[in-house]
Amino acid sequence: MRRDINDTIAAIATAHGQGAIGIVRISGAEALAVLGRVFRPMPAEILSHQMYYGSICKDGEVVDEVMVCVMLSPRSFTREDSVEIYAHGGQFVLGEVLGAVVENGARLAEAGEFTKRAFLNGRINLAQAEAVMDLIGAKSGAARRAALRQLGGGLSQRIETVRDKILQWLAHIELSIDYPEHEEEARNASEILAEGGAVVADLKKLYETATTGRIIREGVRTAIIGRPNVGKSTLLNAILHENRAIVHETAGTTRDVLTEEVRIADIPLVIMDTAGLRETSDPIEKIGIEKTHEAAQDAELILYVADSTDGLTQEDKKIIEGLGQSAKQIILMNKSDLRESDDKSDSIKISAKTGEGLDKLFTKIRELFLAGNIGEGAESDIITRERHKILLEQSANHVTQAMQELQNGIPEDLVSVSLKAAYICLGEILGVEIGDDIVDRIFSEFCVGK
Amino acid sequence: MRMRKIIVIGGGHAGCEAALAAARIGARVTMFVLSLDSVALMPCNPCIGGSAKGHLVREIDALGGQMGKAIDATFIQSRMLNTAKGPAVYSLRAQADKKRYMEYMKQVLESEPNISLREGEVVDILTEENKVVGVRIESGGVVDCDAVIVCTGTYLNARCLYGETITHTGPNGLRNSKGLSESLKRLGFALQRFKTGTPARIHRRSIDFSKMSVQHGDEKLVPFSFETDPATVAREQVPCHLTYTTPRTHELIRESIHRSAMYSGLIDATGTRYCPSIEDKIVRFADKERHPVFVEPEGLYTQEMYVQGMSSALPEDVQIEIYRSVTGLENCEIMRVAYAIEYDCIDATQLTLGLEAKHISGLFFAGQINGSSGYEEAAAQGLVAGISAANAQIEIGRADGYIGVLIDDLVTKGTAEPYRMMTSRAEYRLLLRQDNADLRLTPKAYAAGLIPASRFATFQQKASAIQQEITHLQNTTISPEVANPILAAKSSTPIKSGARLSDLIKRPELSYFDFKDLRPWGRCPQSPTREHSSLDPHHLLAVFEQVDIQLKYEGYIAIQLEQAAAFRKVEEKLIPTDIDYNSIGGLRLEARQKLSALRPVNFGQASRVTGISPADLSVLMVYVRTLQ
Repeated sequence: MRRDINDTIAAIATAHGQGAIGIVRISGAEALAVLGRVFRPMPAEILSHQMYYGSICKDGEVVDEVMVCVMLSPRSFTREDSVEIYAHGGQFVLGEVLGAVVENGARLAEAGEFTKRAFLNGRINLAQAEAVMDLIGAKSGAARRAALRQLGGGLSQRIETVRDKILQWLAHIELSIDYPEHEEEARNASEILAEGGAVVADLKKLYETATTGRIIREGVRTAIIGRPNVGKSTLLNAILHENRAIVHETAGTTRDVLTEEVRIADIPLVIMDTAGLRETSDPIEKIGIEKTHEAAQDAELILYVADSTDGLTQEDKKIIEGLGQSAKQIILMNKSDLRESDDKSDSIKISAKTGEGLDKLFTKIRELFLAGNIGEGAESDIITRERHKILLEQSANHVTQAMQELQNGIPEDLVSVSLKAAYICLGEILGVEIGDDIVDRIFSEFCVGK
Repeated sequence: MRMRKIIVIGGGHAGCEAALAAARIGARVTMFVLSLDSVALMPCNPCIGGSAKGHLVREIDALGGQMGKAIDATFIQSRMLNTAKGPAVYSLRAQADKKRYMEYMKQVLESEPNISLREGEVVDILTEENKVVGVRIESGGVVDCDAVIVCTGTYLNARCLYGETITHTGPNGLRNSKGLSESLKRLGFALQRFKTGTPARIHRRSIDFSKMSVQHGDEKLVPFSFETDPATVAREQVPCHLTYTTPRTHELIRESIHRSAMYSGLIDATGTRYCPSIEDKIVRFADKERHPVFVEPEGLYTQEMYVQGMSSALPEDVQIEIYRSVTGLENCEIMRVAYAIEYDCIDATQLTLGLEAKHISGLFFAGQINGSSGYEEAAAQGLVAGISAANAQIEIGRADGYIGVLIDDLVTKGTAEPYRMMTSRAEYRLLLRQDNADLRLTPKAYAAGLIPASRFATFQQKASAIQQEITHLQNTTISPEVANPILAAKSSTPIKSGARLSDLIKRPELSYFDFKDLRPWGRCPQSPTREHSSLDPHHLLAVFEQVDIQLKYEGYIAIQLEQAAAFRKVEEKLIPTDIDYNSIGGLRLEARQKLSALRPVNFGQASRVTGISPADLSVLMVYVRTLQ
């Protein structure tokens, strides 16, 4: 895991935040090879300083439609072979593109590293050297502070716990290797296997908080779904505090999908108001219903609105069933101002008209998207950096590999290579170097020696 | 050309290898020892090798050193450890006959024409303009020289302690070295005080072996030296025994812990976590119900037995009681008591990677004086110091050998306690195996003039036979009819169509040796190596073992080779040693101070200096570029 100036590096080059286009930049001798592994279709011969259209793929799936431009050495900013990938804006997409690139042979760039290379390769003149050195210092300081801020106490604690467990495994393996006469003190491979699943699960949970991080930036895609005329648009209006959607007594008024962004309980929601779902012969309404289904497919949160004066009807139940399990669901019994309802306990009674029960809805949303994922979660307790997400993913992969190796009877000295790699990945998130950790752990945990 | 005159101070394991390496390269060596009767003494455990240490011995041998051959000639038990834990950590460990080991080594030194052995104490190192010009000995005489290698081990200003008893001696009651500490201080070395210890020796007849479990040597013997034919080392072996402490042992120690020299405040030197005394173990690991104790013979012609695991600085009366509380030692007769020993050592960060003082040309250090612990660690440093002092060039990096890891750790990071080699310290462990030490280092040894042309020729034959056989296996496909009976015998899934031998060997349940004796068939030719090689059978066997390991772990090895190549690129990026770090604006103050003090020679070394961040390195890289 050495930081070498001969590595091929990659980073998101555009500013943080939303934009129509975002750029992922790759630089180094392997830049083209990396591109070849993620870009489809990869032209047999690629010309420098020409744009190519295609897709970025990760694990066989298309991540985004992009344009790419290759700039061959020395005609690039760093004077190395460079590739720029012009993807759609938004951190999620760019993160995925960067993830694909990193999985295929590039490593994440350090703060100021592109500039540093530009200088080392003579792209920037000597007089600018001092400025470059200051820049590196300042940037790495800023990056460190940002990482610390984003990690927060709770999360770094959780990463530290997993990391400590891996260190403990390593200490056991290394003890039995370095002190064979004391190997009865060490636990054997099967004990590691028994705990490995839990560690991978922990890493996955941490990885999911990275997804929560994206939610904080980009919002939860939320669909309001229900039969016609149950008050979906009224609900949207109540949430937005403004008359944005057309509200009409006639069933089937909303035939398009309206989207609105709003921040509720610290969570940005991207709300899609949809056409009511029912059997219809009206072709225009049919289109609306189709779009509703699309919105439901795309959503991460479904607010299912039912009319409490009717209760949860057979039709409602059928629609809910058809929504599938991919999104989180909240069932809202609307029009509570018209009827005292005694229905199902896991639904929330609201009146979109009077605003009654909305606070309960907001609490529930917060629970589902913050607390539900990350325990005592506060915004600071969330990994927002793609870097962390990638490292967590790599770490989980290394542990999984180590478990497979143990199962296949691969000897311990090789298994420890995978475990050490997992350990180093987590250390990188925390900004700590490996040092003499393993040796120290052996001597603090075991009684060995002559 | 005038021969380079080198003085080696000390005749321990570092001193022996230093003198031999320098002499073999062609320097004129005088070796001063405090006593000619204690050359190559093993003052502590009677064994050579073990995990990582065995690797060091193999590397010393690959570089033309003597330790491997000495133990091959004098071992009384030998075992290959860790055979189930993977090829990178196979470790050879042998019990030595201490006396015979010393005799062997002294004889080798005596028969080397370029070495003069001389009893006497060196009390001062003489310099002119930061360059070594000679030494002064106890009698006042001055001996001129071009270089000095200081290998004072645990003798420098040493004292031994147990209970309230203090003797101002080196180990085993031998005289210590007094004058040199002051000389080193005057020359600008920061001395540290380190501490280690040794258990009691007990009489064989007083031990009840029936209460212990026995540990025999291996039947199939593997020598340490690549040049030793295994057939020549067959001998009757002596067993070791394993027993345990009892609750009574722990009780006794807790009662009298305040009387240990380690706990009464008599010792304030830095001890080691690597060989804690028995009282340390009881205090630090209070929940442990028992500790293992190994009883090992000190030699064939002595009744003294070494009691590994029972090092102590408790008073004699308590020692007798606690030893007798160990299962099987109820009636043991102590012949030598256990004691702790304190000695002076330097801070090795004052040295270059060639173990030469950065501020005094011609002054070298090797062994425990550099803060290490262990015979093998000392010998490895002695070898490198001997080579450097003789003005030969050799570079052994962290990706080339444990020797590289050892020396880089000592001179780049320094050590706060006696440093023991461990396989966990090596980043490229899969490459630094004990089986391939010759492939890694012998070419370097030949280039430096450490080994004769005849040995190198054999080595080259072996190396090319390995390549040839690997290529042969990669190009040889065998049919299901031929392969499946062999696979069935090993419960391996049968093949449906032809498979390459190199692929079959990768299956965990199979090895090269399952296919080695296949006769030629069909389109599959017989191996040229097996048919025509003129190598001795034992070298040929080494070829086969090498082929097996290299093919079996090819994937893993390839990954580490790639990492090592990237590592070496950074090591090749040199930093001028006359840089004024204080003039680099972007560098943090801490980094300026650390780098000024250590003066790393390349970016790899700079990256390993404690407290240097990646950003510091980037700034330094930019700065160095501005100098060009």
